[in-house]
Amino acid sequence: MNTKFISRSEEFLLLAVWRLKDSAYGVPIREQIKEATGKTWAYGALFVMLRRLEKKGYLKSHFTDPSPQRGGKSKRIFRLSAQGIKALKDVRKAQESVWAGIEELSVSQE
Amino acid sequence: MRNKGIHPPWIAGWLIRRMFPDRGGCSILGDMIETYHYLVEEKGPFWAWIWFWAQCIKAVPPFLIDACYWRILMFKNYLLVTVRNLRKNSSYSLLNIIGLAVGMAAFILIIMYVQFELSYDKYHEKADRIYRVIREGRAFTPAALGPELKEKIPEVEAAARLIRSSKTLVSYEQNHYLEEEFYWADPGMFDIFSIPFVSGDPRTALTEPSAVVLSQKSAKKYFGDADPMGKILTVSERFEFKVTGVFENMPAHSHFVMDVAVPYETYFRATGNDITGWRSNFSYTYVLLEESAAQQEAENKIHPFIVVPLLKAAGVKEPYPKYFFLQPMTDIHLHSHLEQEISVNNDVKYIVLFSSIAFLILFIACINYMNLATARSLRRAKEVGMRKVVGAQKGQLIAQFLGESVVTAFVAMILSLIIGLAALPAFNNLVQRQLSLNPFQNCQLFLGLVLTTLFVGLFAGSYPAVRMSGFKPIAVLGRAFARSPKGASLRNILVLAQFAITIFLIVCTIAVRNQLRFIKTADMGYEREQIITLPVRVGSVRQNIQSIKEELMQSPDITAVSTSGRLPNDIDTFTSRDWTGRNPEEPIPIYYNTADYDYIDLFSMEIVQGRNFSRDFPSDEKGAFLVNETAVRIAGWDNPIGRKFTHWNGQNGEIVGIMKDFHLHSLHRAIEPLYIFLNPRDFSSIAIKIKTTDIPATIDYVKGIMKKFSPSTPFAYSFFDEVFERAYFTEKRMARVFGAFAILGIFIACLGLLGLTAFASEQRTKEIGIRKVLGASEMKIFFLLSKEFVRWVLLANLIAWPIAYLAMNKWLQNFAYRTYIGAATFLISGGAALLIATLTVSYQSIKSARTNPADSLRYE
Repeated sequence: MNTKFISRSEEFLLLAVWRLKDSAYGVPIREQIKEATGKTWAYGALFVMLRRLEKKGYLKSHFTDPSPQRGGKSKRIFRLSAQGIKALKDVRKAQESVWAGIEELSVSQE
Repeated sequence: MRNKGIHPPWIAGWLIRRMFPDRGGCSILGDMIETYHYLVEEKGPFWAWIWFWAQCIKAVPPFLIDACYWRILMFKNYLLVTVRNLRKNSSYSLLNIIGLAVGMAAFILIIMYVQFELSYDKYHEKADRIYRVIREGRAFTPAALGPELKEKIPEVEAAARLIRSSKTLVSYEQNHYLEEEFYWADPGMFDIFSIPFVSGDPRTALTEPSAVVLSQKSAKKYFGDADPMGKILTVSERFEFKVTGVFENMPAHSHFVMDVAVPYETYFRATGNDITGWRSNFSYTYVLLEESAAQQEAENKIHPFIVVPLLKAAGVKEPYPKYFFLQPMTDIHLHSHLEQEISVNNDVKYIVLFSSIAFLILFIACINYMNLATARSLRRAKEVGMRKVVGAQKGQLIAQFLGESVVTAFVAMILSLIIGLAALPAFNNLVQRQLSLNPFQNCQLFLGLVLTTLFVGLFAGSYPAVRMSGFKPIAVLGRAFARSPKGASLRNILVLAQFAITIFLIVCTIAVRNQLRFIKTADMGYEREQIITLPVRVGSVRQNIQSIKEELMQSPDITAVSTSGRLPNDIDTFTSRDWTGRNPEEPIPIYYNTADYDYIDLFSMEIVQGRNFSRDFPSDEKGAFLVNETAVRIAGWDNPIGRKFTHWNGQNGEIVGIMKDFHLHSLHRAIEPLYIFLNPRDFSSIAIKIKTTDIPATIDYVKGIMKKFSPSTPFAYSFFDEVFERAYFTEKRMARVFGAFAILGIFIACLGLLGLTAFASEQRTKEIGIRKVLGASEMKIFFLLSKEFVRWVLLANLIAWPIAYLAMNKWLQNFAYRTYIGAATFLISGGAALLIATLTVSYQSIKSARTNPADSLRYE
C-alpha cells in the first residue's frame, strides 16, 4: 500500500503540536515554528494549515475557557490524533530509510 | 497585563472574525490579541497596531486559497471527467449535442419571432393611451367622427384620421412610383404617434393643404441625396404637393408603416366628398386619451354624446344600437380581425401555437439528452460508486452531473447559433419578417441565450443527475449490478412522449395541407386561372378606357378585358340598403361592387335567372344591378327581376339578373349578400384574360398599351390566382412551419432513438451472441431489438391522434368551407413515424444481428 506523505510544513506543525503537549494553541505553536525554522508565519496562514490538518484527521482540538488576556476569547488547544502520530512515524521512517548510509555526504561537503 | 485604552483595531478584528468564523473567531483572534498585547509592551502601541493590521491583511490570501482549495481541486477533476467522457464516447456525445443544438436553434428562432410580434406598436411613447375607434366588425369610421370626439368627449386629448390609398402614383421629374404606403393624415397624427422628424416641424408640417411629408426612405427614393425640403411632388398626375418634412422610417413592427403622408382634408377637396359626413366610412380614427382616463368610460360617452343626438336629429326611432368602440392600439396587430384592416394582422393564436411548438421542440431535445444520459449512466456507475466511497455527498454528485450537462448545453448553444444563422434566411422567408440574429447587439437575446442554456442544462441534466447520484455504492461496485427496469421504463415513456409530439405535428401538417389543397381546388364560383390584373389609380387610364380595351382586344392572346371596382375574390365594399319590398326601417347590410359589361363573362360566373348586363339594352346605361342568390334569399323576394334598386350613392336602376352564389370572400367566411352595379367608367382594376401561349410577350404587349395611355404610371400587374392565394397566407405559413418543425422533431427523436438502440444492443451483445449460437436467425435478432421501440411508437400514435384530431378540428372551424380530417391522415402520419423510427433502429439492429457470435461472446 502506498502511503501518502504529509508535506514539510505539515510535518513542522504536527511536531510543534507534539512538543507543546497540552499547551498547543496558536501563539506557542507559532513561536515553536519560528524557533525551529526561523520563519515567522502569519496567523492567518497558521490557522488555515491547522484547520486543514484537522479536517484531514491528523489533529484534534478543543476550546478552553475564555481568558480576559485574549480579549475574552478562548484558546483552541490542538492534540495529535492517532492518525497524526502515524503520519509522523511514517515520515520519519521514510526519512531515515532515505538518509540511511549517507552520513558522510554532509561531512565531505564541508 | 491588560492595558486600558489600548485595543487592537476593531475593524481588523471584525475582518478576521468574518474570515475565520471559529466560535466567533476564538482561536485565531484570541491568539492575535494575545500577541498584540505582548507587542504593545515590547514595541509600543503603534507598532502593535501596524502588526495587527498586517496580520489581518496577510490572512486574506490563505483565507481565499483555503476557501477555494477544495472546490478548485474538485472542479478540476469534474472538468477533466466531463471532457474525458465527451471524448471517450464521441459519437454518443455528438448525437447528444447535435440533438440539443438543433432543438435550441429552432427554439431561438421561434422565440425571436414571437418577441418581434409581441413588440408591435409598443415603441410609441404614448402607446398605452392610443386607441383606434372602430365599428362593429369594421375598422373604417366616418370622417366627421374625429373632430366630434375631440370636441365632445372630455377624455380625448387628441384625435387624428387616416386614409390609406395604396398604389398611389407619385412622381418627381422622371421618378414615378406606385406608393403602397400612401396616407392622407390629420396633422394631429404626430401628436399621437411617436414619429420623429429629421427635418421640418411635425406640428406644422401637414397644416398647409398642399404639404407632403416623407419617410427618409422615400425621400431618398425621389430626391437621392438632394435636400427634399421645398421640392414639389405630383400625385396621381393631378395634384402638386410641397415637401415640408422628412421623418425617420417607421419601424417594421408597426401595424401601419407610413411612407408618404399628405393632409387629410385635401382628400375631401380633391374628391369632392363631404368631410362632415357621417354616411361614408373610409377613414381610420385614432384617439389619444388623457393619462388618467379609462378606456371604458371614454367609450361609453361616445354613444350618448355623439351618436344619440345625431340619430335623434335624423329622426331615427329608438332603440339606438351602440355604434363606436375603442380598441387599444397595441392590440391591433395580434388581436384585431376586423374587415378593412389597415394592413394584414397576425393572430395571437398563431403566436401561442408557435411558442408551444418552440417549447415542444426544446422539450423533445431535452428528453433526448435525458434519455441518452441515463442510458449511459450505467457506464459511469462505477465512477459514482467510487466517488461516494471516498466521501462524495449526493449534493456534490448532483452538482457534478448538472455541471456536465450545462457544459454540454453550452457547447450545443454555440453550435445552435451557427445553425440558427444558417437557417435565418429560410426562417425569415417562412415567417415573412426581417429578423436578425446577433446576440451582441440584442442584449435581450443574449440574456435569453444564457438563460436558455442554463435552463436546458439544468432541466435536461436534472433527471440523469438525480438518478446517477442515487446509486448505492455497494450495489454499483458489487459484481451483480444489472440493468434497472425502472430506468428502462422511464426511458420508454420519454420515447413515447417524443414520438407522440412528433406524430401530432405530422398530423397537423397533413391536415393543414389538406385544407390548403381544398382551397386551391375549391370551386369558388369564378375563374381564377390565366387572368392578370392591373391596379388603376390615375385619370388618364379611366378616361381612355374604351380605347385601351379596344387596343388590348386586338391581340390574339387576349380573350377578354373587364374593369371593376373590386376583383371577385375579396369584395370588401359594404353598404346598407333599404330594399324595396321590405320594412324601410330595417336596412339590410349588403356588399357591393361596380363592374362593366364583361365582368361576368371574364370570370366565368353564372347567371341563374334574368340576364347579364348587356350593351343590347341601352337602359342598362342608366342603372342596372345584378344580385346574388343569397341576397335574394335574405330579402325574401319571389321575383326580383325588374325590381327597382338604389346604389349607395343614390343612383337608381333595375335588377336585371341573379348571379349564382360565388365566394366573394375567402373560404373563412360564408357567402354574403352582394349586388353589382353597372359602371364602366369608374373602376380601380382591370382584369385581362389571356391565353397561355406566350405569357411574357402578352404581358409586354399590355405594358406597351398601358404606357402609351399613361406614360408616367409604372407598370404593375399580378396574376389573379396569386392574388387569390394571398388570402391564405397565414394558413400557408402555418403549414410550412408545422412541416418544418415536424421534420425537426422527427430528426431529433431519431437521433435519440439511434443512441438508445446503440446502447441497448451493446448491453445485449452477449445475449445476442448466445441466441445466435443457439440458432436464432438474423431476422429474429432484428425483431428482438426493434420490437421494443416499435411498440412505443405505436402507442405514441394512440396518444397523439385524439389530441391532433381535436386541435385540427378546432382550427378548421375558422373556415366556413372546409375539408374533413380522414382516417388516412392519421394512418399516414403514424405510418411515417413508424417507418422512420424502424429505419433508424434497424441501422443498429442489423449491425448487431450480423455480428459474428464468436466476437460478441469473446468480449469482456
